[in-house]
Amino acid sequence: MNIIQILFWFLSVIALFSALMMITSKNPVHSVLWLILTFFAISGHYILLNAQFLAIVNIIVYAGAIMVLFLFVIMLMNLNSETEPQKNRWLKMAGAVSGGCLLLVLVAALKDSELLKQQAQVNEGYIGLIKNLGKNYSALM
Amino acid sequence: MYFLSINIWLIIEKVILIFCIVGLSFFIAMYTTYAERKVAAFLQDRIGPNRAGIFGIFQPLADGGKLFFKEEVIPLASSKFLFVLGPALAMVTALLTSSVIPWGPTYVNGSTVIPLQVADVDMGILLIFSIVSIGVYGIMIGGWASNNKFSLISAIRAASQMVSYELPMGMALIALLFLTGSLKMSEIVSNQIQHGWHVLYQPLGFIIFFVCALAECNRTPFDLPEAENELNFGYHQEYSSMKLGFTYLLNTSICLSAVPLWLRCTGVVMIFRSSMKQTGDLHHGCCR
Repeated sequence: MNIIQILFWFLSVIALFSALMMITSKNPVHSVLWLILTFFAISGHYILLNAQFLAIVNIIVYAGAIMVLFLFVIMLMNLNSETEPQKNRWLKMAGAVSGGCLLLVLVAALKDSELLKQQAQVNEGYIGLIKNLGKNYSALM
Repeated sequence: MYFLSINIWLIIEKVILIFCIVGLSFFIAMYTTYAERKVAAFLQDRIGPNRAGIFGIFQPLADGGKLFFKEEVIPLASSKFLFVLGPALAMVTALLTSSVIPWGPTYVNGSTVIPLQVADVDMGILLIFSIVSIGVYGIMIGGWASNNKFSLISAIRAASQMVSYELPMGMALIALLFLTGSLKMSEIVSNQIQHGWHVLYQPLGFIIFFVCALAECNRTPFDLPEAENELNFGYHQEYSSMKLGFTYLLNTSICLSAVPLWLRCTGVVMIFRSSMKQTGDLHHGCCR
């Protein structure tokens, strides 16, 4: 395992775990904080693909601005696990089943696609650097 | 020697650079506070700190030591993890910006070339901006987790002020980017070596940036979050011990970046940190 693989697995585990925690935590403020951690992990993935501009803008816009507004609203509403209406258990199960069905459909649709045979260019593509993004498209081609 | 196909000497070099820049940031933070207190004292016909060492030059060390040894009170009804996370985040974001700041010319000795900058990324300015926008969370989480309505209101005031003043600050920086044509910090500095300080070319941009930096740090003309008449003490009301000290370092990051952006900084290590909280606050804090 080289450093890029280690970072990839580390970021993937963080992204998936924090996304799950964002859905399952009872306290809405904790949910928002887990979502911010998810955004950071995704930005880490962008950096691994050398899409630096996308990574930074993801942090500035999503983690830095939109999530702040989410936090404002949630903090002022003073929600917590007691006042939050608890969903029916059957509803949760139905949600899990339908989500699993969606995953199944996506896997079935994409497993033979051409994209899977290509490997992501890790740490070598330069199109995501701001120097290249600033050029106009015809000059790039 | 290689560790995970990374040269281990590179790691050692970067670790040393990081220790230097962090130590330097703390040192400058300490002594700008001291200078501020001393100057404020002279302006008000007082003596100022004069007990610890000659002219009181060890006063910041004494304050820091005292803050470390004070009892730490965590309110019973607060959410404890977030209560600790708030100042920690503030501290992390205050120190993170120093990673992209060039603080000297490249050191060349024979075949060894050491740039005096921890990371020279292409996205220098944008990275600083993202770190500044993350700095809001330190305040918001701390204020909310205190479970005190004054802290909450003050945290929301501070956060909304910081979010709104980021926009004019970005606009002011665009003027600077037109001059250099690069987001890289090292190129911004080298452009100033060639053509002179950016302040001289863009005085209006600098003034706007300066005002916005004051607002970002919640300093005196913009210190609405700590209005003592209405909000007692602000978002750090429930904090004690060194966590209080850390909330003072909150969002010093933007001021840290100001000097290499607008003024030339080669040769000597520049003085960049100028944004401790106002003196009255620190007195208040240290009396607790």
